[in-house]
Amino acid sequence: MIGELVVAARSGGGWAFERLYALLAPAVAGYLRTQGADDPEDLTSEVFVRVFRGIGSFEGDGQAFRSWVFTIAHHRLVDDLRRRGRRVAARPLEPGDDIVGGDAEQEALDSLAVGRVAALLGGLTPDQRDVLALRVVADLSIEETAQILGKRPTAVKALQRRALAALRADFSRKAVSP
Amino acid sequence: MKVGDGYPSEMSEADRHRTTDLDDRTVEALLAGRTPAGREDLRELASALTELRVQAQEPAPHPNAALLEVFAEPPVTAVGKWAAEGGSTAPSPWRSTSPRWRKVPRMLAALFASLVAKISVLGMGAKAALALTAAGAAAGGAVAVDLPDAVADALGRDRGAEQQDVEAPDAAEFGRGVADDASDPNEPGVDGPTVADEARRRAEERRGGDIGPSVDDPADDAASDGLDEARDATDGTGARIPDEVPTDGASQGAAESAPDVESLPGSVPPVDAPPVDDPPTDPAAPPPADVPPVDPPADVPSGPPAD
Repeated sequence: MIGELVVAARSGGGWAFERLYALLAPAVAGYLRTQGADDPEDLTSEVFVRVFRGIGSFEGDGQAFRSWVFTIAHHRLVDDLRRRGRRVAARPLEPGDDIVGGDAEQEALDSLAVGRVAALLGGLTPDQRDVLALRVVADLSIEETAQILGKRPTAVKALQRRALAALRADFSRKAVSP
Repeated sequence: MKVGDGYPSEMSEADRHRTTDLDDRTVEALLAGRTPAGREDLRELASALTELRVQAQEPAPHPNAALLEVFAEPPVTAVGKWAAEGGSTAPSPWRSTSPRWRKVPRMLAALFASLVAKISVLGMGAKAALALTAAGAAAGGAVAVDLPDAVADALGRDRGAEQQDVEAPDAAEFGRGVADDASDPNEPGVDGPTVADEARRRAEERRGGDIGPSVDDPADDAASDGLDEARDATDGTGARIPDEVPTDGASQGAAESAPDVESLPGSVPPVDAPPVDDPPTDPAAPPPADVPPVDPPADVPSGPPAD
């Protein structure tokens, strides 16, 4: 599906760009959101502007294209975080936090979900967080994740195992001390 | 951090156990949001990872202005540029069949450039004569080429022995065939070698020991008519009109005319047709260096215009 759309987009089919965005933007936005991007929606658009302007140089199938999109997304995220001079500011939500951006109930629920995920990843190291986000949210393989992060697959496997162990330990501590 | 085990030194024994009891299969199940069989202790972790995965299923955010601009005017890729002109994503059939088609327009362009150079040194009267001559010759179905005096004299001297007569209707038909070939949407371009071979074959058929201009050559007649009209039009202006206009069929082209011109006096540079087996080049690229510019001969009068 993605591969066919990429072929159509490379052939000048404007409609294919919008279809590719509709298919991949949710995952890209989710990845940027869980990684603590300042404005994940706007950053997602920036990612796809770069993707579409460079699509003429891309060669590969649909899965390779997906991996390529997340490579660009990761680089944009790193730039964004570097510009802000800090890494993700994930922390558990406090009762006084204003997490509701509007009146809609759905928006409040979404914000709560984002807060829970941010809290979930907040106790991980940046490398562990990168690996979990790329493996779970971006749904990439160990090899693809390793390529994006510039690490060896064995290092990625070790990082994801430690990340899960850290989360498990965090849940255990919370269960012991509510 | 302890050297050797790869775990932080502050990690408790329980934490180490939690790490080491997560084998690859268990990890992959958790990352997929599934609770591994027999591992109810990992249910909460699997649920949390499912919530993380849901992040990727939110609706796509609204595109910003820059992305909307890309949607409105998608970037044109190398492939898309060709496809937008009516092609497909398959490799261009032009490249797969014969790149030599590019040579013919380039040859014609080189010849046209040499003609323009020659015309530019002529006076107004001569230009008018040339225009009328060309019009007259075209009416006869052939292309007439006016040459400067030195060349015309040389050609006039040897014309009886050198010039190949080509019947105008036949030449016109052949020319139409070339034109149709060039404009064929199924196989764009002209196959240069085919054209050259065909022209050579026809010329040799005509040669067959019968050397000299044909008395009944309509192209010759038309050219003579054009000259007469030119003389009438330029009478009294002082413009010099060549006595004879060498005519040539369109089908003779570079392949046929090149060897003839080589036999001319040394003051006339030979007009070499570019070799047709050059590597393919970009159509937008300038002509290759191996096509010599055809400058007007040194002895062409370059004085002030007659008018």
